[in-house]
This record gives sequence, structure tokens and C-alpha cells, in this order.
Amino acid sequence: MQAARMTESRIVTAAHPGAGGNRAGHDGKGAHAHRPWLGALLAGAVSIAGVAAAAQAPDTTKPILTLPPLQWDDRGVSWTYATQRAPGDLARLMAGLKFGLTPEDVSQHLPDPGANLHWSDLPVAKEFSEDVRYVWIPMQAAGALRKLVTACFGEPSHVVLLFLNKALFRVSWRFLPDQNCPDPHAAAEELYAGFVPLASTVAVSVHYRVGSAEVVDVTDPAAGSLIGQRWQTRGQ
Amino acid sequence: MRPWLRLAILVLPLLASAASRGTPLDFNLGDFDSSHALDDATKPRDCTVTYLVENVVTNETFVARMQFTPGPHAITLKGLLPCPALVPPRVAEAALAGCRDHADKKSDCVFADMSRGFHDAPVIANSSGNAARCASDQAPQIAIACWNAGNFDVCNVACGADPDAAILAARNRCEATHQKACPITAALPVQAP
Repeated sequence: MQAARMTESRIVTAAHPGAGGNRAGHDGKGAHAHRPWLGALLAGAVSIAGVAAAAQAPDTTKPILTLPPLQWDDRGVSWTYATQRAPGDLARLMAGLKFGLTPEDVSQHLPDPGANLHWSDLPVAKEFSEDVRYVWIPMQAAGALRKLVTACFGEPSHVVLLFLNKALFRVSWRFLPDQNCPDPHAAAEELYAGFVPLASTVAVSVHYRVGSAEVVDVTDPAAGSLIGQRWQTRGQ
Repeated sequence: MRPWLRLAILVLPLLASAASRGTPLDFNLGDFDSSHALDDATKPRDCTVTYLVENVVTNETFVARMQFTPGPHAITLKGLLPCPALVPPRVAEAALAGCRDHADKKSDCVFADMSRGFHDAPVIANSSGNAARCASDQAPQIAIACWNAGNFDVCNVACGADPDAAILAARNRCEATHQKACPITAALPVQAP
């Protein structure tokens, strides 16, 4: 299949105006009529050039993220989500966590059995104008919170749980590089792909970069203006 | 042994075999003839119009499937329910909205079929919603083929009878439109798996 695609690429590339094929044809217009061997030679050269161009650009598969399918009426006027994703689907992806849980409730779901979270003990997340508190867990210790991730990530990677009014409203996965994993992009993509099929009424997921970090935020749709606030606003 | 008897012995098994084959079989299957699973499996699936949309900032591609409830007089053709002859613009808008739900800004999202000037001006006006979709009554596969313009991919979309045919069509469209090799590809079913 790879070879077949490269062959097709070669054929199409060779046929492109301005990609060598036309120039050769144009320059050789008179010469081709008088010297058929020159035309054949030029065509061969173009073909080789096409193969070289194809070889420089190996085929790669583009990842595709699946949005939740919509069910329209027969006139295409109104829609609903075709598959009703329940908050239970979200909980399965988030190791049992649900939006709205108190820090004490969240403690029950964290992999570290010694964790005992209380609102008053949590540090303030200064990037928010509201009184948002947080707790963070090293990615290595995140257990089922990173069960979708098989690709590598650096040791400084971590998961942040954010609370507003004593209720969980966001889980933020921050994948950072290190010497053993210089590019954690694939890890972030794996995680993100699991959340994109959820309806935006269940969870709002975004993927973005902050410096060398790949961030996946999954936020409660009821969080209002907090939904649009990203990690890069930290400290500003 | 008399010749007629010998002949009868030889022919009798053949006659018996023919008779058994000619006997009507008992097709009384009890309750097995009312399998709901079988009914569901043979029921034609709703028309699906599938779009590919792109976030040019994150360089991520999304598939947005739009299923249409069949009208009261819809007739299947070759086991497929027909799709709307004219897809309302709001359907394409809903596909874009699916991408925008995950984007920083609305302008980050475009249709995945892009015109020649897209790499200079990566904006929605340089992409086509009509060309970025496939309908299930026309083709079972949708494909994308792209070249990388640095921070984002520049792509085109095509439909096909199978993944390879769809990718080839997308690739030809991309290479003809942009005069570049388009080695970044993908294909997926128009209808949800």
C-alpha cells in the first residue's frame, strides 16, 4: 500500500505544472519534435525527480478526533446528540471523579490512600480571579486518571484538580518533557481523544500548549466563565 | 442374480437420495424466526453526512457525523436511506461548532477542504464546507490528504468506495489544488462504526 501511494504521488507530482514536468515539456517543445530521445531522457529525469520528491515526504497517518454524532430531524432543522453520553461515561474516564465532588469526596477516589483533602487546606490557584483551590498529583502516581495514556511523558508531568466553591470543576493533565521523553504530544493526544466524543453538555475538553507542556483540560460545562480560562494565564 | 434385480439394487439408492432431496424441509423454526437482533441488523441505517473540520492552531482534525432521521416516505435504495438533496447550511455550521467547542477562538476552526491560498491565509473563507463532507448514500468512506505548511496542515477531502480509493481521491485533489505532495492522509467510515 505504501508503495502504491508513493507511485500515485510520483505520477501526480510529475504531472504538476511547474513541478518540472511542464518546464521540461515547454523547453523541449521544439527539441522533442526533432529529437525524440531527448524527450524520453527528460521524461525519465522528471520521473526520477518525482520518485525522489515522494521519498522525501513519507506517508504519515493523520490522527482524527471523533466528535459526538448529532441526530437531525428529516428536514435538517434541529438536532440532539445521537448517543446520550451520561456523566457516568465521564466518571469512567476520570477514575470515578465527577464534577461537583467536594475535596473530601475526591480524596476517596485518589490513588494515594493517605490523601485527605479539605477545602481550607488547599492552596489558591492564583491564575483565577475567583477563589479557586487546587491539588496536584504526579502523573506517575495518577493511577486510573491516566489509564488512557500509553505513550511516554516526562517525570515532571502532573494532574491538577481544581475546585470552586468546594466543588470540583476541572481536571487538568499537564504533560511535560524530560530526557527520556522529549515530546509528550502523543500522550496528550491519547488522553484528549478519549474525551472529545463526550457531548459538550457533559464535559468541555481542550488541548493546548504552554511552552513545552501539553495541557488537556476537562471542565464542568456549568463552570461558566471559568471554562475559557487556561493555564497560561497563571501568574498574570 | 437376474439383470433387472441387479439394476434395481443399483438404482434404488439413487432414487432414495433424489426423493430425500425433493422432500420439503420442515421450516418451522419456532420462535427463532422472530429474532429482533436479525431485524435490527437488516434495518437500513440513517443517512449520515460526515464532515472533516480542522483546528488550524492546534493542527487537529475532527470528524463530525450528522445523522438524519428518515422522512415518513423515505425509500431505501440498495439498502441505503437517502440523504437530503440539499444539506442546510446550519448542518455545516454545527460541524464547525463541534470543533469550536474545543478551541480557544471560533476563528481557529475551518473546514478541512482548503483552497490554494489557505497556507497564506488560514481562514474559514479559504475552506469549503460542501467539499469537506461525504454522504452515506453516495460513498461509504471519507478521506483527507494534507501537506504540512509549518505549524498546520493544508488539506483536501474526498469520498470513496473504500479507504484506499478515498485516500487516493483526496490526495489527487490536494496535489492538484496545492501543487504539493500530500503524504499526510487518513480515511474513515462515513457512518459511525
